[in-house]
Amino acid sequence: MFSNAFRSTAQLRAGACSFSTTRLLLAGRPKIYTKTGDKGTSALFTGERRPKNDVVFDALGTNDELSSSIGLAREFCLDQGEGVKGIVGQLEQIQCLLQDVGSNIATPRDSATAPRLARTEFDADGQHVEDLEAWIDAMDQELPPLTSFILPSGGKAAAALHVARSVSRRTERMVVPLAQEQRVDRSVAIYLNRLSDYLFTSGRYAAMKAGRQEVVYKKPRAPRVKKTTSVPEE
Amino acid sequence: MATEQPKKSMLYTRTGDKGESSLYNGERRIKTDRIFEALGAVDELNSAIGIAHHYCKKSANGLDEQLIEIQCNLQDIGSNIATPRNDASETQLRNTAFDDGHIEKLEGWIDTLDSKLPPLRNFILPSGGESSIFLHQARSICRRAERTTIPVVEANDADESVLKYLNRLSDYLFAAARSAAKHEGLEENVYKKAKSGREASIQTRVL
Repeated sequence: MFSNAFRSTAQLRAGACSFSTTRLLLAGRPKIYTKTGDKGTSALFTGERRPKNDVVFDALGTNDELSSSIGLAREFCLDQGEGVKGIVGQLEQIQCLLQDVGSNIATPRDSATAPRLARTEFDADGQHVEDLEAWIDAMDQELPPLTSFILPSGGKAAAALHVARSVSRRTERMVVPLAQEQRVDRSVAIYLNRLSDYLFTSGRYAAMKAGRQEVVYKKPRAPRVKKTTSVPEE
Repeated sequence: MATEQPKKSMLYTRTGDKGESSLYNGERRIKTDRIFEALGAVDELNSAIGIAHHYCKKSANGLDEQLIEIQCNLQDIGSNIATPRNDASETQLRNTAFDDGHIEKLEGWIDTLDSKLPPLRNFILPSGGESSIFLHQARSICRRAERTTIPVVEANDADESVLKYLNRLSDYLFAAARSAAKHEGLEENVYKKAKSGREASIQTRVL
């Protein structure tokens, strides 16, 4: 998705539309800040302008947060070293795919032109989801079975993967309504659904490779509360 | 174990237990009100910048003082949001006005940072070491803060300068993230069209 949500729509257009390419290449160095969004609107890939709090930008922005969280997890996996090298490569590929997810979201399926739809099609053959599933299966084979709830834990890399997993869920929640209205391809929602499973498994895998124990859920005991006569109101 | 109960902390007031909180003008609203959504997002942004600051200071990339000034501005932005512009006293409005000058200052910082960066040729993926990554995270949260502030400004509850500042701030954080990576001599990952099909997965598995 967009490395930086709203401007990246312009960035994306810069690569795709001739007039923006002209701006990027001939006018020399464009300013990072265009000020065009100061009134609270931004452009979709189709050129349509909408308020930035439109559901499409909510989805795009959350997808952007997801890519940043994955970037962080990748960084901690790099630090952790050899045992999670495979995950580093996988996360890089996922970040690129999230860029494609962003292009799909930014090109409303119900109003874009056929060439634009074709250019921003996502995972039509389901291969990217299959890749995620294969990665999950491979890691799962090495992992001890789940016997209780695990808490986000297990070292920096594992914890960061769990954070990314929860952001992935939030992204999915933003995308699902759009997919139901056929404004975003269903494949995007499917990919995000599988991605959180991948991030869960890779979180556990990173903890195992770090030789760290995952913290499991225990029911905390609450002390007996004295009944107070007057509950403070308001 | 303790024989004597410690004195009740002033930190928790219990007044918000029913799901309401106060604005600066004294008005109480439900905590899911758009004003608290915006305040909460600005607060998250401030925390994200706090982490970024920690790593920037460690890497001595020269961004730390700017980040602190931004954190202070975000505090002021919070005050502005928490004081409905159309329902507050003159004094309250004066105390919580947010000056356009801060935006110009941010633009100056962006121009300086950007002038030292290689031009953008590809999409950049959040990458480039801890400082850079945390700045990217702050950037993406800043976008959310901006989105949640829009309805507040539209309802005339906050100043437009706040929205402009948040819009410019994500650009600043983008430039700052790139310059933090450059400072540490770390590479930024760029977007490559992922190959579909077995090829791609086999390639990654070899890694």
